Order: sequence, then structure tokens, then C-alpha cells
Amino acid sequence: MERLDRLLWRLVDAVILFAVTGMVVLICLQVGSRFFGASIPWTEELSRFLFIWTVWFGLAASFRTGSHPAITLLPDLAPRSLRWIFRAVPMIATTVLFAAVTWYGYDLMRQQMAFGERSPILQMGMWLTTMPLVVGAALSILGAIVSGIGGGQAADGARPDGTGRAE
Amino acid sequence: MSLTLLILFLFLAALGVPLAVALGLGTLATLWWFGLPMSMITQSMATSINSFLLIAVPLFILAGQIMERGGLSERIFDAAESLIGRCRGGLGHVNIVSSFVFGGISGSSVADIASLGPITIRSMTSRGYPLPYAAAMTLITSTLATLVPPSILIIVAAAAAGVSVGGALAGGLGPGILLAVALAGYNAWISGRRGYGMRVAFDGRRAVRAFLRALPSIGAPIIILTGMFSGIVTPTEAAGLAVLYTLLIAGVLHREIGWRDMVQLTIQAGRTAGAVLLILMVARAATYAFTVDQLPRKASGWLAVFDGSGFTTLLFMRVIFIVVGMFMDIVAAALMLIPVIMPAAVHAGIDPMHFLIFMSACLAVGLATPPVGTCLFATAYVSGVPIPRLIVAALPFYAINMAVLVLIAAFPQIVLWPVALLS
Repeated sequence: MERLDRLLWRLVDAVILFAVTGMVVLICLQVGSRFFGASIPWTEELSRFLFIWTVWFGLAASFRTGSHPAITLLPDLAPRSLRWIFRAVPMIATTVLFAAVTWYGYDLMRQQMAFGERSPILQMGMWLTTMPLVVGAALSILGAIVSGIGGGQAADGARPDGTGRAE
Repeated sequence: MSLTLLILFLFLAALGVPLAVALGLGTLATLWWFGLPMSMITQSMATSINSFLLIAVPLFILAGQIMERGGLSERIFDAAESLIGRCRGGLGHVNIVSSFVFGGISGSSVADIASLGPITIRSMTSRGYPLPYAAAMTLITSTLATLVPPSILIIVAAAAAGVSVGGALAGGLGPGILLAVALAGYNAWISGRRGYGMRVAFDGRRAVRAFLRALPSIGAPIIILTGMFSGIVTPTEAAGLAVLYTLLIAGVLHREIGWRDMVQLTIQAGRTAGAVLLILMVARAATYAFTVDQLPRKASGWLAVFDGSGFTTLLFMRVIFIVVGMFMDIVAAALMLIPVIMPAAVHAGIDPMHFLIFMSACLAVGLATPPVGTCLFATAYVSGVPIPRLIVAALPFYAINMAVLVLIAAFPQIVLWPVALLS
């Protein structure tokens, strides 16, 4: 089970790595090509697609490592015997929200497939931009549950000083 | 309806539910309760991040991380130290300058503390500054990164408010400079009075060497900001180039960063961006509920009670912003406040850009204040100063920050002049 958990999130990390690297390369290519007077038309669209993948997989991974910003004032003050409430409530809340997002997202994706909606330049199916939403939302549920039950953080999770945050 | 949403949100947030989830679930429940289409939540989430502008967020986060790990921050500090660190209070000024330059690439206040904090605090204490003063100074200067372009908060807030992202980034420059100058003034005065900082003989050779060593690192924000503000590249493209540039310096020139680090940093940047942007996505859904409820119009009505100038309205709003910023993650706070209060501010005759930057400057204070202040916790962590002690030491700095906010509210030109210069 533990191995499966590690394998799954490694896969998620691999997608993030690929997508972020892709965005950097595409955007530098965009600037470079414009500089040499031969603008490439599809870099913007493709990097936007990669960005959507990055965001959804990134936020799912952050549920696994428990690094979404939260107000921990009350949980920190609560007596030890009541701590379980402050672990259960966030876990259930995350599950309910993302179950709805997955459900409606899947619906949206099916519609896009049925109508054959395509992106303006690359002519890719628009469902490809909704798929990360569906997969990412489902992964978020999994991440929140595993992190809620396990309590601890993933091996390479957020640093204790909170430098993973972006404020 | 808006009230139901807000109460649900606050209730869930108090129970320790991540802010984004609390807001999302509050919105979902409200949509369900009032018979609005629940699919709106997914719709809003999907459309809000289908944006080229927001790609700047993960990329600037990544550039900041490369700076931190790749020895760029350290060199910037060394150069500033050897140039201005020798006089009374000199290292205090170094602290301000290096945070300003660092903020010119990273846009993240917490990254500033994590990377520059330990070096600055160590050097300051070894030159006779009291530890709490050094830590408090580091704490307050870190908030500069939230104002100086490229600020992650301002990018996200501008995208949500529908104003020009490039313009808003330029708008943060004036308040950033003002705060830096005010802090430097206070530091010079107090250091002179209390004799902080030993005088060290100026070593011209060392200064030149340190400056040359730091030149590529100092060049990074200059290249990025000039490119962006002269209109040669968009903010997103500037972010891409920032990653490439910092990577070249850290990996090829300094050789302080390897493939393994890069893989780790890239993944971390994606995760952090995901967490930040989830808040943006659910806030968009909440905005839908607020709009259906006509909350912005109601808020305008409430604020009309103040029937005063833009200045008094902003001063009143400052109280709201600071209180909200004290408790909440600032990105979440900004995205909640924009749909509710911005229409009212515009109605009161305040320029949207002025409002947005003023709000960001107020919220940035919240990073450094109790009870919930990410920078406060991070500084206590790196300096070893207990939080209550740090807060006491930071009191004069909070006061300076408040005074600067009054100035920004009184003189819209501080924000609008660089924006106008840009367009």
C-alpha cells in the first residue's frame, strides 16, 4: 500500500516536472522566435494547456503533503483528546468539495467530447484541458485522505519553515 | 446568500479546513441551498486558470527558488555589505537593499526570509546589533517582496480584478520604494542613537571584488524589470526568462545547483503554484455567488455612509484589510476582498489600480503580524527569537508601515505615476 502511494505521487510529480519544464521551454522559445522575427503561433496555447496540468496536479500533491494554507489557531490550542476532530473535518470537507468538482468536471468533459470542441490553433480537443481537472480533483481526495489518516507528511513534503508557500 | 457563504467559510476555516477548501465548500453549499446550478463551481474553476498571464506565477516562484538555492541571494548580500555595511547602521540598510533586490526576482516574502534571513541576522548580530532588532528588521523588509514587482500577490490580484497585470506590477514599485526609504530612515536614526553596528574600515578592493561577483545576480532583476516595463516582453515571458537567466547563473556560472536540485525545485514550484491558484479558482466561484446576490452593490451602499473623499474611504478600508490580513493567507484575503469591496471603492471615486495596490500593501502587513503571519513564523524559526519577543521588537516597524499606508492612501500618485509611465 505504501509503495503504491509512493509510486502514484512520483507519477504526479513527474507530470508536474514535465509540464513546468515544458512551459519554461515554450515561453523562452516564444520570446526567442519573436526576437528573430519568426513568431511561432502555438507556443502560447500549448503552454496554457501545460499550465492547467501543472496547477491541478500541483494542488493535488499539496493535499498529499498537507501544505495548503489553513488557520491552525484552534487546532493548535485544542486538547490532545479533541485533535482528531481537526483532522477529520478538513479531510471530509476536502472529499465532499472535490467529489462534486470531479463529478461536474467529468460531465463537462463528456460534453466537450460529444460536441468535438477544439482549440483554435492546435485543433486539440478541449476535453484535454478538462481532463486534468477531473484527474486532479480525484487525486486531491486521495491525497487529503491519505495525509489525514497518515497524519504525517510525504517524505519530500513541504519544508517546516513554510518556504513552499508563496506569500 | 453572501452571508451564508461567508459564515460557512469562516466556520470551516476556524476548524482548520484549508482556506481554499473552506471557501469552495462554502460556495458549493450556498449554491445548493439557494437552488443555483452547482456545476458553476467546476465551470468557474476551469475558466479562471485558462489564462496565459497566470503562467507567471509558477515561473516566478521557480526563479525565486533558484535564486535562493543557487547562491544569488548570498552574493547580493555580500556586495551590499561591502559597499554600505561599514557605516553606523550600515547592515540595517544592507538588509533593506538586499530584500528589495531579492524581491525584484522572487515576489515571495517567505522565500526572502528563508534565503536571506539567516545570513543577514548572523552578520547583523556579529556586528553588534541586538538579535531581536536584526530579526524584526528582517521580518519587515521581507514584506517588500510582496510590493516590489514581480509580486505574486499582485499578479494574482490583478488577474482577478481584471486590471492590467503589467500595470499593477509597476504600481507596486512606488509603495515599495517608499517603505524601503522609510525603514532606512528609521534604521539610520535608531542606529545613530543607540550605537548599533560597529564601524569597519572600508576595504575598496574587497568591495569591488564582491560587487563584480554579484553583478550577474544584481543584473537579473534589472534585466527582467526593464524587459517587462519597456514592453519588450509580457510579464509571463519575463518570468520564463527569469527562470532561464537564474538557472544559467546558478548552474553554469556559480555551479551551485545540479540536476537533482533542479528537479526538486521545479516540482516544488508546481505544487506551490497549485496551492496558490486553487484559492484563485474557488474565489472565482464565490464571486459568482456574490454577484448573483448583488453584494458589491450592497457593499457600495454601506460604504456610502462614509460619504467622504477617497482618502477617508481608503483609511476606513485599511482597518478591514489589516484585520483580514492578520488572520488569513494574503492571496485568499485579496481574492475574497476584491469582488466585495473593489466596486464600492470605484464607486467612491478611487482609481481601481490605486485600490488594488493599497489593498496589497495593507495585506502585506498581515504577513508580519500575529496571530497568523507566515513571515512572522518563518523569522522566529530562522532567528530563534521567540514570537512574543519578536513582536515587541517589531512594534516600531509596524508603526512605520502604518504611516507609509496613510501616505499611499493620501497620494494616489505614488501608485499611479509608475503605472502611467509604463503606458
